[in-house]
Amino acid sequence: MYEPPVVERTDHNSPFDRLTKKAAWVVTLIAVVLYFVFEYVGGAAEARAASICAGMVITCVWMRWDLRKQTWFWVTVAVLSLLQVPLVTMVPWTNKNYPGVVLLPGALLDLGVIYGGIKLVEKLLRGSRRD
Amino acid sequence: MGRFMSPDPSGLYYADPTNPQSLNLYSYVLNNPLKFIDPSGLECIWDDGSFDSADDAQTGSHAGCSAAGGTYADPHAFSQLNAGDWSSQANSNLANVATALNSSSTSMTVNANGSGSVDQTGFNLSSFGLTLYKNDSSWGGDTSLALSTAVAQRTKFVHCFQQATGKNGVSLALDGAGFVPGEGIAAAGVQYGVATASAVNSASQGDTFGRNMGAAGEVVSVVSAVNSLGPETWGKAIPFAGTVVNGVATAHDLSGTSKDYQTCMSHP
Repeated sequence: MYEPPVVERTDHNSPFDRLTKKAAWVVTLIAVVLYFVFEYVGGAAEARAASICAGMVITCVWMRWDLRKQTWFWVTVAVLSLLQVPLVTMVPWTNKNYPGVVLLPGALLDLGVIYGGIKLVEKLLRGSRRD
Repeated sequence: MGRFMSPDPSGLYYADPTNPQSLNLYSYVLNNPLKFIDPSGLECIWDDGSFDSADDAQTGSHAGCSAAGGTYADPHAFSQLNAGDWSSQANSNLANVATALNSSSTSMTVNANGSGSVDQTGFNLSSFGLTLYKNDSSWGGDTSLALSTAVAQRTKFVHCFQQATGKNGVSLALDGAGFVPGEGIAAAGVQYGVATASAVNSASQGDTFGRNMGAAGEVVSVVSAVNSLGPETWGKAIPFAGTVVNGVATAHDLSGTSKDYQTCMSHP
């Protein structure tokens, strides 16, 4: 007769598990506030790109919050954020209105690059420590 | 020239069956400019909805019209707004005239100090700089002037509002729809695209490739690892990123709509 295990296996270790709806609204709120700040400083088109980039950086930081006490983590985040500055300032972004669905692939690509960058540094550091 | 280049926009509103010349939409003052003038296009309106012609010696001016008990205004402006028979309030103050202007989407508010405002579909005229005052000296006690200004402002507001929302409306609507779904169709589509990419990456043995190619290979390996997280994981990331992007896109669209509206309203 089958007996269910006393302790069910759960997987809360994935950084993606931190991507809850509540967290999404908090990051959205921050990104929208940043949008208006950036728009005040520069143009609307650049503000949109910058705030989406900032939103993705914040998302990655939130996902890897377990690394918050690691100096290299913050250095990596800072470097990856700085790398996005030319992306925002040098690309001639259009001011046309595009719905979020159209902008989503670009944002996901950005998210993948930042998340992958952190993952890469983490992997390199772990490898060097093992050596 | 004494002749319109295009038909009178008022159409046959002013047509008088007893005067066939009034049916000519290209003629000016009944084709008799030597005798008649129509400097403002205003008419003297009576309570029963009728109006005198602009050339009437007794009522062809604001003062003459008021003295005779009518209201000197452009009836066409009101018919454009589908305002109904407003002329039944011709002898009353602004509040009453505005009440006559009342339609299902319009309301008039008169405050204790005599100030008033007209609302249309939730937008208050005072929000773009117009407040009506009964017997206010700024209108010189001229009800029709105040009313004409109100109507002009309202017409401009409707025009600018429609122009701004028309330009940005589709994007805004899609943004609104995009919030429902962070878990919706668009997310699912991208999710399956990523799942396919993940499968392709796995098939290409990204990790093995990575071990043999040094640092560049490490990058490929990491990308492969991110992809191989699978659709369940991206199923969380895509709605999350979608919500953030939708929020920013909505802010951008709303800001653009507001600017378009303000630009339109600032033009004389």
